[in-house]
Order: sequence, then C-alpha cells, then structure tokens
Amino acid sequence: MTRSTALVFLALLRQEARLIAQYRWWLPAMQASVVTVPLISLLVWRGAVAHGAEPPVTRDYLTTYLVLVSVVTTLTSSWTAKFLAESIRSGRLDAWLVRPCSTHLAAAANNVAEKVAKLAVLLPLVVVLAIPFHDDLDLPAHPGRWLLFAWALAMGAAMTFSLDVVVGSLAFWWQDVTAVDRFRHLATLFLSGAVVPLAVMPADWGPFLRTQPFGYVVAFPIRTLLEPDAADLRAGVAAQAAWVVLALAAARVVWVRGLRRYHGAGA
Amino acid sequence: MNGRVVFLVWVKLIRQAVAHDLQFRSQAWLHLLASVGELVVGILPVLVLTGYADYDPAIAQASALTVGTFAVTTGLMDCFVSLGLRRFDLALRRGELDLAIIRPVPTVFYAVLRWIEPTELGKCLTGIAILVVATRVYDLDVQPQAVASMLVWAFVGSVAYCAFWADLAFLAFWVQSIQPINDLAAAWRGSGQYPRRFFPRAFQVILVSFAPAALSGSYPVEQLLEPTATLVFAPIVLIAACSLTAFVWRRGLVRYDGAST
Amino acid sequence: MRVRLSEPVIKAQGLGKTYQFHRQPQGLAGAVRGLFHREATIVQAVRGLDLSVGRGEVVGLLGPNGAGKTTVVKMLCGLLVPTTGSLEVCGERPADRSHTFLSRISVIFGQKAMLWWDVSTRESLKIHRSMYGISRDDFRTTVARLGDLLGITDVLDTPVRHLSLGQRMRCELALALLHRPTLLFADEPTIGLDVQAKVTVRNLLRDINRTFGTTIVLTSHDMNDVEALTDRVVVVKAGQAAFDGNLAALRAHAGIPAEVVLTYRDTPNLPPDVSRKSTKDGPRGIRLRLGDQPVPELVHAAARWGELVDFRIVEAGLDEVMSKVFSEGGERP
Repeated sequence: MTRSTALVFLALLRQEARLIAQYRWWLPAMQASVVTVPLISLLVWRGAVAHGAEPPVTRDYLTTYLVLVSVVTTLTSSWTAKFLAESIRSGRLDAWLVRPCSTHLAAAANNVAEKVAKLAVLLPLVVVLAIPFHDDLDLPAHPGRWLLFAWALAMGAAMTFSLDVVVGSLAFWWQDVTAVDRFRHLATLFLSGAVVPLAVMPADWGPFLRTQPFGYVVAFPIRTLLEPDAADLRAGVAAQAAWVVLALAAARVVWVRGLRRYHGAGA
Repeated sequence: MNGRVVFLVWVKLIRQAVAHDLQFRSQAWLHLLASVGELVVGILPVLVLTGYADYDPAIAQASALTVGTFAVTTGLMDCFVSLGLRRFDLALRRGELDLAIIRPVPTVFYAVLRWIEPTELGKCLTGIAILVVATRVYDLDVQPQAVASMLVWAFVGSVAYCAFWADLAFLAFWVQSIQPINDLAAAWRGSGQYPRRFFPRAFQVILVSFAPAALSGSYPVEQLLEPTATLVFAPIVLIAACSLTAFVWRRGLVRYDGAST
Repeated sequence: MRVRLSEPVIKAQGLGKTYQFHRQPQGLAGAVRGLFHREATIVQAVRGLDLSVGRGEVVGLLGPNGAGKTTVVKMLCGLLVPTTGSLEVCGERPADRSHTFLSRISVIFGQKAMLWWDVSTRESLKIHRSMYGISRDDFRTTVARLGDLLGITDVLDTPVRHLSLGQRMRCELALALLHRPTLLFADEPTIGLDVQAKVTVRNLLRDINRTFGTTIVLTSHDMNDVEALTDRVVVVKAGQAAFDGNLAALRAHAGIPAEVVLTYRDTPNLPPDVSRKSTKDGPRGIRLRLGDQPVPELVHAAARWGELVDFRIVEAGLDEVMSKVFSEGGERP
C-alpha cells in the first residue's frame, strides 16, 4: 500500500511537471509578484535606515532576511484550500473518493512539483536581487545550519499544507470558505514575518509573536540561518515541531469528521 | 456608443452587486472585515517602519496621510476594477469575452467593469477615518488648492494605475495563462503606500511614470503637504495612460479568436 | 478474495438513508441565532430498498428527479453510509471504502470528468496504472485492446481539453475500465452527447459487458439508453423500489394499451364513436387505442371506413411508460 502510494505520488508528480511546462509565462509572472513585496520592503527599509531610522536589527540582518524571504515564502506556501473546498462544494470530490488512493495525494504532488518549478524560476530572480546588496548579505557557511534551515522549511511547509486542508475541509459544513481563507492568509502574511521581519515588530508584541504558530512558517526558518544562539534555535525547533503535530492532527480530525458528514449527508 | 446607456448599465450592475451582498449578508460582512484586514496588514508595515523614523515628525505625518489616501484609492480600485482585471485571463481562456463582444455596450466596459465588489469599499471608509484622525492629530493647515491638487492627483493616479494594471492584464491576449500578473500589479501597487523619499531616486521616478503606484498614494499627499505646479501634467498623464491602454486593448482584441472548445 | 461467480455482485436488504438538514434562519441576526439554536429537518431519501444484482447483469436504475436513485448509487459505490439495512457490494461493505472494494468498482460520471484535463488520456491512464497496481505488460495489452474497442488509439496522446465530447466520453470509459472492474456504475453516461456519439457509447457499454463480463448499473434519464442497454430495470420512487423486472414486464406493469395506426388512400369516413376516440396521424391516417376488441374484428371494421392501405400496431414508447410509472401515487413521506 505504501509502495503503491509512493508510485502514484511519483506518477502524479511527473504529470504535474508536464502540466506546469505547458504554461510558460505563468511561473515567471507569479514569481515576479512573489519577489516584489520583499523588494519593496528591502528598498524602503534600507532607505529609512539611510535617512536615520534606527530599527532594532542591523542593516545586514534586514537585507539578508528580505532577500531570503521570497524563497522561504515560496517553499512553505500552500494553495490547496480553495481547490479542496471547491471540489467538496461541487461534488467533484466523488471522483477521488471512488479511487483506491488518498484524496490529498494529487494536492500534495501539485504542491511539491509546483514548488520545485517555482524555485527554479525564483532563484535567478533572487540572485539578481541579491547582487546589488551582496556586501550586506550575511549567510552562514556551516552545512549544519543549512540542514537545519531545510528541516525548518519542510516543517513549515507541512504546517501550511495541513492548515490548508483544515480550511478547505470547512466546506463540508459551509458553502463559502473564501472569507475564512482570506483571514487565514491575512494572519499568515502578517504574523509569519513574510512582509515585515518579526524582529522589527514593536517590542511589546514579543511574547505573543514568539508563541503564535505563523512565525514558524517564515520567520523561524530564516532565523535558523541568522540567529547565532543555539539554545534559542533548539527551543524554536521543538516549538515548530509541536505546532506541526498539532496542525497535522487538526487536519486529520477535521477531514475525517468532514468526510463522515459527507458520507452521511452527501454533497 | 451611447454614454448614457453605459452609465445606466453600470448603475444597474452596482445595484445588482449590492443586492447580492445584502442577500448573503453574513458572507458580505466577513468579506468586508477581510478587506479591511488586508488593508491593515498592508499599512502596518508602513507604520512599523515610520515608528523607527520618529526623529522627523514630517515623516510620520506624511506616512499617516499616505496610508489613508492609499486606502481610499485602493478601495475604489478593488471595488470597481480589480476583480474584472483579475478575471480577465480566465474570461479569455474560457471564451467568456464572446458574451461581452455581442453586447451593445463597449466590450472593455462589459468585460472588465461589470465585476463589482461593494464590500471592498470598507477600505475607503477606513482610509477616510485615517485621514480625518491624521488631520486632527497633526493639526494640518492646508490651502484649498492643495486639497484640490491632492484630489485631482488621487483620481488621475488611480485611473493611471488601473490603466497600467489593465495593460498588464491584457497581455493575456498574447500570452497564455498570465493570470499571476495581477498579483504582480497588486503587489507593486503596495509601494504607493510608503513615502516616496525612502526609495532610491530611480525608483522614485518609476513610481510616478512607467509603473505609477505612487500616483494613487504617496504623490497626492506630497501635493497636499508641499504643492507644486505639476497639476498641469495631470490631464496629460490621464490621456496618455488611457490612450496606451486603449491601444493595447484594440491590438489585443484583433488577436482574440474565442476559446478553442 | 475474489467475488464468487454464483454470488450476487450487489446485495442490499432493507437499505435506508435519512438526511438531516438544519434550516438557516434569514439574515445576519438569524445566522447568529442559528449558532445557538437550529431547526432540524429530516428527509428519508431511501427506505427499505431490497436489491440483488447478479454478475454480468446490466441494470437500469431509474426514477424521477428526487426519487432517491442518486442516493442509492452513492451508497452502492461507498460515497454515502446507509442509515439502515445491510449492503454488500463485490463481497465488501462499500462504506468501508477498502482498497479491495475500490479496486473492483469503477464509476463514470457523465457530468464529472475523471480524466486530467490538461494532459493526454495516456497520462491519466498511467496514473491509474500506478493506482490500481497494474503490471506494465497488462497495461500495454489492456490499453491496446481498449484503444481498438473504443476507437481512441489515435487520440490517446492528445490533451483531453482538445478532444470532442464524444471522444472524451470514450476516453473516460477507457480510464474507468483500465483495471477491469467487476462492477461499473454509469451515471448519465450519454448526457450532452450528440445522437451519433450516444449510439457509440451505448454500443461500447454493451460490448464491454459482453467482452469482459462487467456488471453495469446504469442511471439515465435517456430512455433510449435504457432500452438499448438494460436487461432489467429497477424503478426507484419515493425512496423505494417501485418496480424490478425486465422492460416487457414494465410495459405490462404500466398498463398502457398499444395503439393501432390505420392509413387510408383517401380521408376515411369514420363513425361518430370512432371519430371521438381516435386521433389524427397524418392527412389520411388515424390512431386508435387497442382495447379488448380482437384484431381481426378491428381490421374488418376498419376496412369499411375507407380504402385501407396500411395497418400497424404500435407499442407505447418507453418515455410514456416511464412517465406513467413515475406518476403513479407514492409521494415521499
């Protein structure tokens, strides 16, 4: 069963890759938009610092953070909720439920394949963005830090995907989940550190920002490269793992209960 | 084409959109809250940034007025134009443009401007509130012509940015699946909510010309606080932006051959 | 575990399904009130349905809109959990959605595509190969055979979005049959197709049933589908099986008498009582209900009304039969 799931996943992955290749302009346009927000932030923060502003982090930290943020956002993002909700609402989910494989396999394959393709387009853009600021980029050389970064990214991606399944599954109960999805995106956007580094947020917000889950999607993976304090990082890894387990459990509970309702009441 | 007919159809479309939102009130409230939330998420970074630039009170004043103006213009764009532009690529691929072409009203009007989201006007209300509070807090003393100049530029800037966004969206005539270009246009628009002085000089020029994000946000506020004689250029900007969009639209429409199936 | 040949593929006894809905009060205040107090409405969609379908049968599941047939089909393929009764399909409980069960059934949704839209049919088939654990050799042989049978060999590598509706439906069939299902559910398989494509799909389903011995459960509002394909029909009405038998028995059950079409060389001179009971059929023809009167007597009498050139007995159309059966009493509680 597990081997069969892996084979289906690989087949779906290949198909997704072929599909993405058909829409040549879609990826560059999307990745250009992904780079735009951090680019604007980068320019204005550096501009503000040049004008005398004094944020609580160094210019190097800000520059490195804002250059990396688009890569991290891309790799930890998920877009399944909308499609999942639509398939539940329209009854298209039936086409998956009568197949002998997990309903979320196609979404996971789409997520992974699209991220690989996005990264291929995004990296050159990030390199171009980084060139003018290369003097202020401060990245660690130790491979262990990069491994930790990769782990934190994978955890962040798993958490976002699980939250997406939770939001999408709400369509088992509600007709329209777009507003909920908008709120979730808003929370992620602001509290994850995707627009503003959490380190420059007002100091009073510190305790709240450290405990809420969204920070472990974007800000924490970047911190694994920028924060030198090992104890801080260990605590962060543990907190992130706890949030991921919670998100996975929530996704499982909501999906199973939703499916039971679907089987019980129909589409 | 009869302008009166177009106007009456547009009014009917607005009424229809409002009626729809009144019918699904709870959803409409949620979307209204979400749209205001999006605005807040957009302006908080500006406020956080200017919080660290408190050595110069003029920056905080300009920032508050800019985010207020930006909220109003963004609300108007998102209520009347953005959704139609976001749907354009899909409409083209599905052949929905056929339905616009056969109507006795201008195609671009029916294809783009018929999608109205009244709940986005929540941003305008928030923006007006920010402007009122900022005016009181900073005890602004501005001349009527400065206010007029700001209003004219805010209007011209909004139209010019919609035209720029439309130019990008209409690339769908030439390029398959260009839908995310709308996210690019929306993301770039965000640069208009930061005081222009924080950007490098080259970007400051781009923001008021080629990709005029500042024209609907920071530039009108500059004109309010430090009026210059640039108002005479407003009609030129308006005509140039609209002419370019009309040109792109006509060239694109020639290429349109409906959806294949 | 395979299904034994002698055992029915579908065994349902006293099958029932109840839906419970909550009415949402109007307006925002109502929505907020609804958070604390909700008014429940119970609808019994299916009640006490008995059904047994043997291996290799083609059964038409018919009924008016809202009769409960979609609920029945959804329970049969494991999409809905029955509220009451027992159900066994291919030797399994469908609601468990076990891997074995899902590997033995297949569904064609006339209005929902199973094929991936933007890639070729062959790519979708490859995914199903992995999903159903089909060996490479079996895959090659089955695809070649289905390609020939369905006439889609030339379009297997064309992206699905470029196919005509008829081609797409044939490709959907190929995808549904790739894993050689024991049981195929065909839900409105000809909806939206042109006349020629409908005939093709019907012939194909017939061929598939004969070639592979696949049991088919058909739901369709197109009586031509039913007439062309099914050996047996089950009419579901108000959540119950109102009829179960072959088409001849269904006609007898409906009790619609056959009609006689009489064609004359010139306008016939009908007696007043015949004129009242007959309807016109063309400029020189009439239609009469075939009652208890013996046919030779009727021919004899008809010859006296004019120069008779043709005499035909016409059975009631299946649409008319169904309409009669559907409209007979029995409202949903």
